[in-house]
Amino acid sequence: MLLNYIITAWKVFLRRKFFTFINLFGISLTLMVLMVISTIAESYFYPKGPEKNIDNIRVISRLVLTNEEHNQTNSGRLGYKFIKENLFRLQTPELISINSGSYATSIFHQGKKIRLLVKKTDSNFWSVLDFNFIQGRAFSNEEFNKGRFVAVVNQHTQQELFGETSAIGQKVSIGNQQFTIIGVVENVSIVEEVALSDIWVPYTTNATTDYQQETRGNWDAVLYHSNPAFLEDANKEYINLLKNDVVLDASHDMTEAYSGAYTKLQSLSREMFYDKFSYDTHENIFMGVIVSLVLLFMLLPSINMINLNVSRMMERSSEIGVRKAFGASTKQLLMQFIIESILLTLAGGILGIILSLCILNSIEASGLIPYAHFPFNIRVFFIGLLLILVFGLISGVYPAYKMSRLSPVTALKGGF
Amino acid sequence: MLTLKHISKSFQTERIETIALSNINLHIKKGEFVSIMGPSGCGKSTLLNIMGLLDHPSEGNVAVDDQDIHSYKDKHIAELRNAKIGFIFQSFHLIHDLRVLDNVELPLLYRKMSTKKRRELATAALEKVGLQARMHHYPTQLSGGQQQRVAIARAIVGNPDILLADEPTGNLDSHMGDEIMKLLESLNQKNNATIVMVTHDEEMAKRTQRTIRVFDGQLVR
Repeated sequence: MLLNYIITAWKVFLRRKFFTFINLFGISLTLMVLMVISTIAESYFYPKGPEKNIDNIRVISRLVLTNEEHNQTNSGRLGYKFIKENLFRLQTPELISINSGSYATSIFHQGKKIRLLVKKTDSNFWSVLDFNFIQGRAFSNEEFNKGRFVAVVNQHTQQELFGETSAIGQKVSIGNQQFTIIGVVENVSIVEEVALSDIWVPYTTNATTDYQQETRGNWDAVLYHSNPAFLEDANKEYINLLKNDVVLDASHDMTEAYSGAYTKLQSLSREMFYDKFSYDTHENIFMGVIVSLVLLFMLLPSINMINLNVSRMMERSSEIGVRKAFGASTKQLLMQFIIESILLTLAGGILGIILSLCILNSIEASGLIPYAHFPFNIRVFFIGLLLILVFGLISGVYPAYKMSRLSPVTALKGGF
Repeated sequence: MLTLKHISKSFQTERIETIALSNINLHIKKGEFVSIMGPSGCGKSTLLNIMGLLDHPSEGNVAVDDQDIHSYKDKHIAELRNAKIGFIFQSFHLIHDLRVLDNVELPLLYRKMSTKKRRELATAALEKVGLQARMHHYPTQLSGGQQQRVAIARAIVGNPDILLADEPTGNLDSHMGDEIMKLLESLNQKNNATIVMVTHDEEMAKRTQRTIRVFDGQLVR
């Protein structure tokens, strides 16, 4: 029976090439867009590089300072002093790492000028994130504490500075300082903002110690716990500390501090619904908006397909009448039409997945997103499959239901 | 074989109620070739639809082989139609997307049967109507008379107890109509098929064993 439905469906598709084409075109294009977006979102929310242990970390990268009247604010990244006096008092995280935001700098090497990103970090940085070392090693606690001039570089930097020869043991000048390269790691995708850089050096090598006096500065903090469940507690502890026990610079008016240890989703949501004087991230509303947008995006082609399907089935009302007259039950007809529509969406879906893989590959190849890597992965595949199914059901079930319930007498007369 | 008792049918539209049939009593015996005659709009097609279990009467009972189908569910009625009744329509109603053979196989799809067996039965039915050579064609490649013969093959493939034909020659010229009529007669005589045929044509009606006349929704003696 099933085989027969499939054969019938195949024949119907072949006999109505234009209709089939329009349908496939609509489904595959919609799915392609959704798949490309969800792959990029997936690589953002579930990174494959150093941030692959994303569930074990929370990032603090924003601090809003204000006075009692809320008429003066000072917001941005964290200052070293604020971190030292507040963050380092947190008990819940197993590890806390702090690092400067990566900044672009010019490096002169053998008469060449190369623009590269540099990030200053502590030694915990290498424990809270999971870098893939191709050669060498990270800098140790001792090297960090003593302010040794050592550096870890990525493959891109090694290639740019030394070509095919190994960078290990080589010197690189950053500013007026000379660093010895002790490790080479894989390139980090731009979507992994915490890890992102080309060169990493200990912040204890800083020429001055001015940064140690700043409440607001250029620092990010990463909280780590081997059990992800404890990170929400860490966030609560942090917010509690900010509410009741925060230490701020006495020479400023700023007496209140708003911040949080967020997941990537929460950070993004907080940026969207920028609610300065609150600890709330509104990520539920944010997700709601995203889901509604996706549904809306799918709704348009679905309505279009419902329309096409209904008119196509109206053409086939004589077939429905005949099938009913010769013994097809309403249920059997419903099955037949649903299978037809699922087959069509499946074909369109597979086409959409192939198209999206092509698009993603060309985005990777074009270098539009630096160091981006969008591998085929099972999770996105299943998201895609789910989208196809939803799509097929939305566009196929309603017309199928309507048509299968048609009375045979009406259907044989040719219409509603 | 088929019994109608006190059948009435009315159609309710927004303002008026149209009575299509009123108090029809009818019995069709096995092996009979019966024609139903009457002017346009007298209710003969509605009568045929009710006999074929395509339509529900507003009042009264239909019994197939003494089984009263009054309380049957959709699924059960579909099974009954499949097993007991074969339809032939004025406008053939072949499925244009399917080949002749697949069209003839259609009633067998709703039975538990192997593909091979279906093929065999469909081929045999096409042989009976003399179209086995055309089984891989599409309906649109055939003439009207040939299409109606395919439709007859489809109606007899499941070996139903009764054939219901709604003006089977109405869309054909007299020569082709005569061919179809001969085919029905031979099915009735050789295979002992029970046939009920709605027609406009007095000549065709004369060739059947019994003629039922319908006027304004009522049987006329």
